[in-house]
Amino acid sequence: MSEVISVNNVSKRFGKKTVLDNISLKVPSGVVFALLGENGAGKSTLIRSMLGYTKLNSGSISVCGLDPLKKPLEIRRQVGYVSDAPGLYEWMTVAQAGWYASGFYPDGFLRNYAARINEFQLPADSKIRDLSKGMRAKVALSLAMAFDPELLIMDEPTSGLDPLVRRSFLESMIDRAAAGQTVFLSSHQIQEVERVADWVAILHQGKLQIVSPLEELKSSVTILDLSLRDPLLALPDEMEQLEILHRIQKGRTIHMMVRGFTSAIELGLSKHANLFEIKAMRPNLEELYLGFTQPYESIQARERNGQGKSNQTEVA
Amino acid sequence: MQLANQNKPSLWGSLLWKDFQQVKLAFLVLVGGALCLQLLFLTIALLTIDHKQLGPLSTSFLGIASGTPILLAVACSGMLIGHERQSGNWAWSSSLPVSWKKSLCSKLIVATLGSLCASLPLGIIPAIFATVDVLASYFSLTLLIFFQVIVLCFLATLLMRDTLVALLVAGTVLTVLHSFSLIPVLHSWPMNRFGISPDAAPRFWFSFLSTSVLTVGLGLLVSAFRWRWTYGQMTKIAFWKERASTVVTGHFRYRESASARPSEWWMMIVHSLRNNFVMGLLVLANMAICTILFLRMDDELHLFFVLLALLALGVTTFQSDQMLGRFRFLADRGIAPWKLVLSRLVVSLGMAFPAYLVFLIALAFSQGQFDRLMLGLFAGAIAFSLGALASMCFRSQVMAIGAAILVGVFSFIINGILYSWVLHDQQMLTQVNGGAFENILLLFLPIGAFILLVSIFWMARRWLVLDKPNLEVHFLWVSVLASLSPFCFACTFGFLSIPYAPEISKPVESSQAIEHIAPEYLSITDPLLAGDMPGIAILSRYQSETMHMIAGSANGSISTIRNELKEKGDQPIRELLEPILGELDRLQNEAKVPMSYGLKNKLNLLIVRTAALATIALEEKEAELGLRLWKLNRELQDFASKVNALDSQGARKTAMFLLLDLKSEGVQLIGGAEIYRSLVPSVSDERAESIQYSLAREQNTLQHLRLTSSSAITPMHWLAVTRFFPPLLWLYEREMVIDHRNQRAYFALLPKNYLTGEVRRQLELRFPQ
Repeated sequence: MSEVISVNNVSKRFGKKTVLDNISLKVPSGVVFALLGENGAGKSTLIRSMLGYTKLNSGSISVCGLDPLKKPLEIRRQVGYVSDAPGLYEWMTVAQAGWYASGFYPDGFLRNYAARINEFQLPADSKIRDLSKGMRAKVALSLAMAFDPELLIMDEPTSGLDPLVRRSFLESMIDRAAAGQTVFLSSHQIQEVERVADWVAILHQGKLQIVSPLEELKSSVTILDLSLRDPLLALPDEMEQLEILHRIQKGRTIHMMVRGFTSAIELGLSKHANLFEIKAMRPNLEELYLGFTQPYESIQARERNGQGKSNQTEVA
Repeated sequence: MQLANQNKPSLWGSLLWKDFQQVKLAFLVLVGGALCLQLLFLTIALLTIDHKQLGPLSTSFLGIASGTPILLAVACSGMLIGHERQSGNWAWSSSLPVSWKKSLCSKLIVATLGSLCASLPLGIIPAIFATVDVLASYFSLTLLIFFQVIVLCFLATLLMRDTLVALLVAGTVLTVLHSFSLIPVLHSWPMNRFGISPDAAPRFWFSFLSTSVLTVGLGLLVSAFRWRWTYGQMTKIAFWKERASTVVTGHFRYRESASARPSEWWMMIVHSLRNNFVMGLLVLANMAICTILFLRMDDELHLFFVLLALLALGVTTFQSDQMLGRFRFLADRGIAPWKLVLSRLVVSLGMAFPAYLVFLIALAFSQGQFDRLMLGLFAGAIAFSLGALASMCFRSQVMAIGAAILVGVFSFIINGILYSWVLHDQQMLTQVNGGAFENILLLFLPIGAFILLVSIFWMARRWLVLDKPNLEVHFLWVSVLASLSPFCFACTFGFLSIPYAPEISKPVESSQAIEHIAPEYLSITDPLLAGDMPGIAILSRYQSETMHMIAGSANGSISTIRNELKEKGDQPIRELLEPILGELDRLQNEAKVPMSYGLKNKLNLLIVRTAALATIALEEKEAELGLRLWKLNRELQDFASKVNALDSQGARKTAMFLLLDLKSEGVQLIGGAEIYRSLVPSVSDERAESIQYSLAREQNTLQHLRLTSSSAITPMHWLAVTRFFPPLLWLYEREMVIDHRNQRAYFALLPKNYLTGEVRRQLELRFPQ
């Protein structure tokens, strides 16, 4: 599987603030790749870097085999881009926006665009300024997809869309991926992304926490709910073998997200006298996201600094 | 679907279409407005003067034709770069597969070709009247300044986030750059036709600076455009380190510890200061620079620039709130509209008016014109309020400043025309009778600013609450109302200032009101001009008083002059004559520059004043002085007919009437008919008209109808206000003349001015036989 996007050791600083800190990731072609992260995590900066809108402090990016800073025009011909706030000309009608954009793309753009706006039930003769936020987002999506790009990069594309259209749109992303095209999107709608994403990357405070195929990630991580007889007693030694990503303790119950949980460890834990119940389950994407954006190391660090709560361990 | 069947445009087609659509409205409004102005001037000129004398007017037409493309250049920069960047269109456009070079070229093509082509219709009227070399001179200078404006404004709007600030900075830079080269060239330009000027030094500096500005500016423009189009989109250029937020935060923190929280008013004022302070300072700096530069020219240009700056300062009032709909933040928190408006106005006015007041006082001291202080103050208030209203009604900065300037200029011109129209039917000089109307107008001028300010508060709720308040339409009708209301109020309620009008409510039969002036005011003298011009002396008491008023208008009252004449002989008249001679020398020295309105007025006043003084001198038997004054008057008339034929027409005609009205004793005093004939200016329309008028009177085909105040009562006499409402009054007077023409060929009506009690300019009508 060839790589459509390759990000190598990318760092970007705005003044003293590091927005992207040594990021490296590769996006294979023909997948739906979801970039997740909290507000201000650096998602939009990374996306803008991929399109050549931002000069990097270090590292390099290759999109469709091209350097975005050196070949921005070629990248725009191959990549459809929907920003989080598409600045469409408000005085244009929906039809005029398509007609205007068609001048920059090969033949067939107008036909595809007309089909899209028909699908989204957009009024062709209405001015953009008269459209709702969701309808504007639909116009922006139609424009980005009308030339059938090899790679579609979208920054919060479903923001403002109603649930029906959002679902239909996300499903169409699966079709695109199935057709060999690549979709790179950032979103806060984790549950919906989970349905369509093949790959997922989680960005937290400018640092990449994980890049992995979603199913692989899900299978490598386990959620453990442990019921203790005595919370003051130490946990079994088998726990040392686990990589704890996230932990919340409430009374005699510990909720954990761990990596490296095997049946052998489960067997060992079940024999421990202090544990009277062990529940292990596969996490969903939201739980994974929370686990990676609120890592256990930071909790431990807080506890070491005396900031942790005694009875109820709050996550960092 | 219809869209799918449409033909795909080419890349260039798309770019040019989009850029043209962006500026289409600005083109239409500016070019349409300028064309309307030209046609308005032309219509008035054709109605009031002989078409042969339209030549000198060509400079006014050329001025409009030259100024419009420069304004279009500013508008294009604002719309194609500034507005696109502020509204986020820039980001979307740059995400399309189009290179920065093509995008820049398209914008430059639309701005350049569009502006120049759109301005072509404006060249039609000047081309009819101006000579080819004058047209070529104007065209070359306009083109040069146009390109400089395009380059600098494009560059500034690329570098700065705020369009208005960018345009102001570009304007200031351009003005400063040219201050040491362009103004000397402009001084020598009209006489030397710009290019064959013997003054090589200013021409060299002008060419050097112009070339440098264009070359450096173009290089910077290309680099800046590429940078902004690609990786420089988010970069913010700050001329100083932004620490204000921490200061304010710290301040709030301090207040938080002192009291529960800062007061709402304090928050609003601080917010308003942070919104407007920098922009206001820039505008004020611009105002100061332009004032200093243009004070060198003896003209009202500096006042125009200062009013323009006040208008711009008004536009800054709400623009920071308008940007990205920031006002919604305050509106959503339930801030009362009037509080928001007041906090913005207080800060804006607090910056504008102290500076403007200092400027006005400095101007009054430097020019000794204290009587214009109040006029300037009220005009400034209107300009500022108009700008503030525009900034509330238009979301786009460029549209706001464009609309405010357009409405301001139109109001200024239309008010000027109406004012001149009213005074045209007053007695010979505005300095005599115009003063009364000017005072009334001054009294009602604050109404304009008041209407605008009240409208701002009135529209505030609509502005804050409604999504689509459609305030542009409100702006139009409110600004028209505010612009015309002072004049209309002055006309309508002017009668209230009439100190004594005993017959005002006494209806009299119109036939009883008609008084034939002859024979008590008519006395036929011996023919003085052999052949073509019999001399007739009609010296009515009105004319005599008027002459004395003219003579004494600048240097004391008529009684003072008369007393001094009795006590000191001709010394006072000689004292009056010396400054006149000094003025004449100065006028001759300065005649190479285009004559300003101030100079034109001075020249006209000199012509009439010397004629009146000469008449008085002859009345007082001061033969030598009278002759000197008449000779001086002849020189002035010759001079005026060369440099300012059109605008001096009225004054020259007045002087000729006074000369023609000279009694035979007066003619003998100055040395007889031969010398008298030498004093009458050579062939001109005014001379012919004066002679025709005298002939008509001699042949008794002229009937004078002197309307007393009672006879001027209209059929609507129950409505006293119509007595001074000029359009109605004049209509009535004309109808009355037509009613009483009695198959005569020539009528003159002497309607009374109700303000001064004097006879206004004679209303003359000729009827076809």
